[in-house]
Amino acid sequence: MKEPAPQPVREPPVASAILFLLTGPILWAGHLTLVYAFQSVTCAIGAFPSAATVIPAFVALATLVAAMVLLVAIWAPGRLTRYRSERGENQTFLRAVSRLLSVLSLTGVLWTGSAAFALDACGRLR
Amino acid sequence: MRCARPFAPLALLTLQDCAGVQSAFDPSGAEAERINVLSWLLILSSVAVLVAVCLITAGALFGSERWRARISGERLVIGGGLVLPILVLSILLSYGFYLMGPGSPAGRADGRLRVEVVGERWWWRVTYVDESGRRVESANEIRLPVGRPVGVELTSADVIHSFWVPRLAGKLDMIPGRTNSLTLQATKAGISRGQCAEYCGGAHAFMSFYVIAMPEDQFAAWLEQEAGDAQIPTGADETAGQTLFLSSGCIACHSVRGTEARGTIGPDLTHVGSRHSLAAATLENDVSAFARWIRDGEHVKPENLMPPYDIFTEAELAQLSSYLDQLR
Repeated sequence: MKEPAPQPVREPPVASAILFLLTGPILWAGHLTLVYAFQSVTCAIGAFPSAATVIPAFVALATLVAAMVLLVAIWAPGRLTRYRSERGENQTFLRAVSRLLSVLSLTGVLWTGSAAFALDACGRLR
Repeated sequence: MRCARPFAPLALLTLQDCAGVQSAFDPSGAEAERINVLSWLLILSSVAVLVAVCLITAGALFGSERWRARISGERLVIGGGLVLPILVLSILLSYGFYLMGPGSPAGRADGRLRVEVVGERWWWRVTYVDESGRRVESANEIRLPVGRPVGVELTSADVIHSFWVPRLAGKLDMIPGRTNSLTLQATKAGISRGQCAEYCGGAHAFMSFYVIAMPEDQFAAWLEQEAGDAQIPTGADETAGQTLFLSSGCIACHSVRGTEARGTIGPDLTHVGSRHSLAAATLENDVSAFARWIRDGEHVKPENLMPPYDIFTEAELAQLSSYLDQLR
């Protein structure tokens, strides 16, 4: 009796793999955009007499939220974006790379946030 | 070796650009010296990383099995791709905060002298404000006392320009409706060249200026002289030139203190003859350059906003140029 031909392994779409890998950098980009836009608009309109307080407070809050979400992405990479490869070795590799990028992104978010406390809130616009 | 030979003259030519009045690698200001140190640090670090990557690549291609096994381990990826960049960039970020923060070693202006610079298409309006509040108008040239940190306030009258004197400091944008502040501290006497570093339209490439750093006593004497009215012409040609200047429409745009010329659209010409250059560092400053600029400005500096004056005869042009040249 003839053996049935093995079924080809079906991988999920590449887009979901990219999204899974880039969870950290996407969060980092979102945090940077939000913080940068808020600081620039607040300083440009000059409407806040208390910009020196409002901007660091907003940046601190945004950084705290982003850092917590990134920590979730580091400890449990499948919690934010789901991706499951049928091949076990692929899954292990993708989880490791996703974690690595999330660690780098967390560092970037903390760097961005620290600027709010080290520099003048509405300093030089270059 | 044979392959490298044709590139040697090219490399020498490139190195030649590392010096001169507009080179960031030849600093003559406090901030530029810090930037220079940081630049070399980054260049040398980049060279070290490049060499390391080349060695690792060579090891992966031609190395022994033991080498290849070592290179392919996760330790190298974690160390070189995660730990090293985080460490290096954290150090650089801290250094950046140190330079830009409140405890910065960058000189704070002492308030005895302020220089207001307004970017115009395509020249620089310069106003010195001394500690008594006296305002001295000038253009296309900045003079500074050596050793004293001077506050420079930058803005624009039309489009976004950028103020950059590589030998003195980093660049800073000039934005309409906003005043940005910069502190310039020349560490030695001499001439540096600045350039608009933000594309601002047709004659952008010709929007330059000179910064002349002078010993404190010479600067004080110069500022007194600069604050005064224009010299009254004594020679026949110069007097005729003044008459031409006052009657030919020049005064609609230009000001010469001590005369009825009070135009504010173009640069103040009260002491134009004493400046290091003409047309925002486009021409050298002499009688023939004045004549060339007045008659043929559109070829010297295409798209500049001063209309060409071809109404003068050769003799009149010479008289007018002589008058402007003696405004010292």
